[in-house]
Amino acid sequence: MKIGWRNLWRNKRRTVVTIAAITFATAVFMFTRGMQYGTYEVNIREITRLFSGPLQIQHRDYQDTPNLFHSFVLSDSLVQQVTTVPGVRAVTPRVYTEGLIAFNHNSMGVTLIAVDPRTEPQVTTIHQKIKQGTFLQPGHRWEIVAGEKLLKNLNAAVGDTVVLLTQGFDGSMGNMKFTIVGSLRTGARELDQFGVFMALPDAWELLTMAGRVHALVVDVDNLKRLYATQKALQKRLQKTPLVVLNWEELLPEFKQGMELDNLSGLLFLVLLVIVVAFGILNTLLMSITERFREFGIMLSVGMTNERLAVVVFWEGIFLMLIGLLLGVSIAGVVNYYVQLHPIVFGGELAKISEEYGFLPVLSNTVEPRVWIQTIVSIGSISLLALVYPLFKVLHLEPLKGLRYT
Amino acid sequence: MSETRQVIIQATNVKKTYHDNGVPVQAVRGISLTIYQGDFLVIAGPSGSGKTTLLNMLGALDPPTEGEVIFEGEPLYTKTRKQLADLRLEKIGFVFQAYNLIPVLSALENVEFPMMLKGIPEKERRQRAQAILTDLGIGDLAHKRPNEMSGGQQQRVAVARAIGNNPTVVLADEPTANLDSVTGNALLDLMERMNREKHITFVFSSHDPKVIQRARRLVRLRDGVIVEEEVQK
Repeated sequence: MKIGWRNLWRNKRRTVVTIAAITFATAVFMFTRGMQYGTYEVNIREITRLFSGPLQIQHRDYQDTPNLFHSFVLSDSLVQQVTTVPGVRAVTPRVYTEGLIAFNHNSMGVTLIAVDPRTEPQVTTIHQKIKQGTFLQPGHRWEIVAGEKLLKNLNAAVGDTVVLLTQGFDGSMGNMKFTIVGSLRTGARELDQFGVFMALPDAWELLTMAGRVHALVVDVDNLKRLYATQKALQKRLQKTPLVVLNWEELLPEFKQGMELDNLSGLLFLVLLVIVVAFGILNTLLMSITERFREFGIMLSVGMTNERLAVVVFWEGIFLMLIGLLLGVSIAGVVNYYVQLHPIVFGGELAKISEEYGFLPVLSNTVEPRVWIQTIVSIGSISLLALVYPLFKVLHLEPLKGLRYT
Repeated sequence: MSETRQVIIQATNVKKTYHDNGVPVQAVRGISLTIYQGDFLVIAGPSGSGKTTLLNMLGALDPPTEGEVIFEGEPLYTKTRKQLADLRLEKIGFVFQAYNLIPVLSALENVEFPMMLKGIPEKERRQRAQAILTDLGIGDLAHKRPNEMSGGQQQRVAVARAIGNNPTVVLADEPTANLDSVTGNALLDLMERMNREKHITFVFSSHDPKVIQRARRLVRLRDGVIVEEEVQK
């Protein structure tokens, strides 16, 4: 170990370059991985808080065949059953359907979302996304809040009166006049361009489906215990035709987008790790080849190739440990800073991000899996880069070493 | 030369052929030589006569292409690489023309190095190494690195390293080649004293007259064969 340590500092420049390469790779790996996980976490948190909620209780057939009939009766006992499950923080009911909005000579297809204005703000942040006007108020009737782009396309504004047309639960066509009280800018295209929010009592009348809802949106105390809460809820509701869906099941496209992004990120990291591996291999080989003569001396005075290989192994380990330590220290600080101060971007980047269903924000994390993945990946590849130099040392003959120039 | 003396190394008709860019070169063409306990033997000859090759074959560093080397009654080159390394560690000390000290270690640590490989406890080997260096007149250089010492001082450290593990034989390849005559003579005095007082067997390869004059047995090589063998003293 002592000789290995001293050998490191014989050629300081080479050692510093190798350590710098490992440090850089470690820091980039940890920063990139942390940014992926951190940004996913922010997106999951914000997107579920914005609208879908982390969990939803639906009729078991609604997710595959969304229609008015795959709804259920909203009862106090059901709400009581749900809210008493450990981990459940709050619930709010919803009705979803499709319809047509008309203003002057313009009409457009929309998604109608009926909410309870009293409980919705306890579960989602949609009420905070009002660009102009106000959100729905409890007790107020025949009012809607619509997406900003929808209003722009419709040439309508807050204060205007529009007509909503849709098919009712009994097969009849329902139409009502509503006043626009607010416009929304959420960053989610489907809500900004097609979303119309109204109060549940209005929807029940418009759709002739009094007391029925499509979903109970559930917020949880701790996202990390989401699956446990989902399981407990499902168990509580096992004798009903209801299912509990998590955000991954509710937003499969968002989930797939994240998986794709994760894959491309991993590919980048694999390439980075391969480049670093060759860098380390090259430096170690150079360092070993230029000391063949010295190794020859050691072998000629009775050192075995195996013991010599241990010296070289320690050199590699020291390089790896120093590089890893520096890399994770630097990245740890940077990751933590970015976690506290996420990078919000605008312009074209923001548009591209929204196109893919992500928020225009980059965050980071210092959670253990990022440290573990970084240390395991860079550590393994550094150890792998040691294999060939060790092979050379193990097969070095004393005389060949002594004669090496 | 008394034939009752203990035989340490016996080489029988050893030959060595190298391949230089595919062309076979016969460095040693059939040499038989016996090394006895307490020898102060010089293998002399011009450059390219096969001195170093012979020394390497005697020292478990280079197997002959043909022939056999017996070390203390056992064939040398039927041993495994690890057994040969252990034998070099326990029984053979090497002194090289270019000193060949380990540059990252101090003089004391260089002398300690074979002792450390042998598993001698740190305190004991430190005392032993310091005692040897003091005995060789360089005790005050114990903590100097090789690049902080003169050639003569480095070669003394190399001798100290060679004798540190109390070897049966020290093989010295052109030990005075890089030294001035005063330093070379001092080093030879030292090795003669080791031979006389500690009964360490020395085998030199050299074409330096200073070394040849001191030989008690002299073997002259030319073109890979022994052309003359004499007992000088």
